[in-house]
Amino acid sequence: MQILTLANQKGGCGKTTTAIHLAAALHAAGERTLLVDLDPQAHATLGLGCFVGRAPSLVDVMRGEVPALSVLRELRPGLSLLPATLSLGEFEEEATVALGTERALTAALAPIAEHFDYVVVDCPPRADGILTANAVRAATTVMLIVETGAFALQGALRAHGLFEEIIEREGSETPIRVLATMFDARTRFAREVLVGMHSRFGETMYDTAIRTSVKLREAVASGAPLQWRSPKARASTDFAALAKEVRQERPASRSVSTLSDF
Amino acid sequence: MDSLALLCNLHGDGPATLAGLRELGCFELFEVLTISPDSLVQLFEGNERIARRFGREAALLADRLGELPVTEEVAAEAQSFAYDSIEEVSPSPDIEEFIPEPENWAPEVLTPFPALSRGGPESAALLGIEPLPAPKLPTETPVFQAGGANGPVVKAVLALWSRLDGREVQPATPPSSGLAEASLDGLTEELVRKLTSAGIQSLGQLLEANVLDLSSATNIPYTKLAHLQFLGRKQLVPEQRGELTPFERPDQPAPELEAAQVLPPSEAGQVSPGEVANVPEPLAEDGPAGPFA
Repeated sequence: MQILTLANQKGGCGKTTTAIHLAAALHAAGERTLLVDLDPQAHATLGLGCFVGRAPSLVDVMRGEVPALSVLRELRPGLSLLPATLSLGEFEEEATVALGTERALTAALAPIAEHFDYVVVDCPPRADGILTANAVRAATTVMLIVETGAFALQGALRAHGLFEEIIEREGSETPIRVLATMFDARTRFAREVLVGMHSRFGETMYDTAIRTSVKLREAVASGAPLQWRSPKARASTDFAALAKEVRQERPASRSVSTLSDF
Repeated sequence: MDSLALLCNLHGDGPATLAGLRELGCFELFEVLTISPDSLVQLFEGNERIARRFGREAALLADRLGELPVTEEVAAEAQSFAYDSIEEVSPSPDIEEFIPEPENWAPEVLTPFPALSRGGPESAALLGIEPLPAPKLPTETPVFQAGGANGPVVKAVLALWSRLDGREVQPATPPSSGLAEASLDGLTEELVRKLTSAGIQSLGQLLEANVLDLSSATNIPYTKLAHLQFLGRKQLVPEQRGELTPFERPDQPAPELEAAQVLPPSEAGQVSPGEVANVPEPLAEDGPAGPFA
């Protein structure tokens, strides 16, 4: 099972949109895919048309109160969601007085590892919180989502440093890959930002840059990935190309810890 | 992201262009410069202008990234082609549709990296690659060189500018004229056939029709019909449109703005010193004017 953690310090850079559509693209490519909504705002959950209410959600799984399988929502055969609620925000506070919380997600995903080929984790818009730390520790690949806009590079460098620190402390060799999003090739500014990103991140960047698209925003608002409605739309082909890259560069499988390890 | 992918994202169709280039056996940025012009045009679905630009940008990017030195010739060519400042204002890809092609138009030879193509074996040897066959030169001299400033290309461009500025005088068309005679831009024979089958026989009927109903009846896109109505209205002479500007009405004199209309009543004729500072100085009638004054 490959765990892709989509993260950045900055909000509004396309993490949730990318998570939803990358999960859908991997699923379309025949991979058994799970989307984990680790954002207390629960936008990925809402973006896939799910409403959890008071039913158990990801935070209950991370607390070890319920198994992950009982919370999973199957959107389509082979594509599932671990939904979030606002109460996930409480986990940040609880983590300050509990032990081992930085590995709660790893432990939560361990029992369902055999059911999925890919897990896409949508992180909250902060790089230094316990939720993002959980996702980075659980990841086989950290995907740094960088919008090709103002201040994007500065925030990305800071987030990149934080992730490197977490990974180094963990003693793992989890790769950090960079994905450019919201790219508008019509403007010189966006092109210059992309060239700057290329200069800074080089080969760690994905070849695919996700181009800006109104259809993507509309799709998220309508509660279904764009691929389900317009599989040939430009944005859909962008995510198909990204999914192809992700599948081609599948890193060596990493052993997933089990609950008994903790 | 390798530099070839960067180029495709910056100046191509992203992953589609990248996949196309790889199918052509191009895996490095400098290899784009060795692709035959025809292949590049084919990659961009026959759009020679985009293909030419892509080739030029490949050379410039290679130079910028230090992967290949670019000649002064290519740099000068790129600077003279200031498309950047244009496309940010008007990124519409449809603008090319309006460019009429003269009958004896001879396209410019596509050379993605002119210095390399003209340099022959020496340049290829410099790059350590197999030299390409020399591109076929046009047998006829391009019209814009032969005809000077009054060539058909210049006329076509001027006509396009006039059209985009809305200064082109359209021939007046009576509302009773048939659709085929209306000669609206984009009104093809197939559209005329569809409209006729829906009971729209004349330009007037087209203008009076409800676009939404007509769209569902004919299966012609709503926006297309709305655009045709817009063009149709423009073709009618003002009397037929039922519009008269104040200057055209015989019973009304042309309005004149007075100080009392421009300023609030209390301040008319009493401009404070602070406001005077914002008023531009009137130009001397016979003196120099403009940026070089």
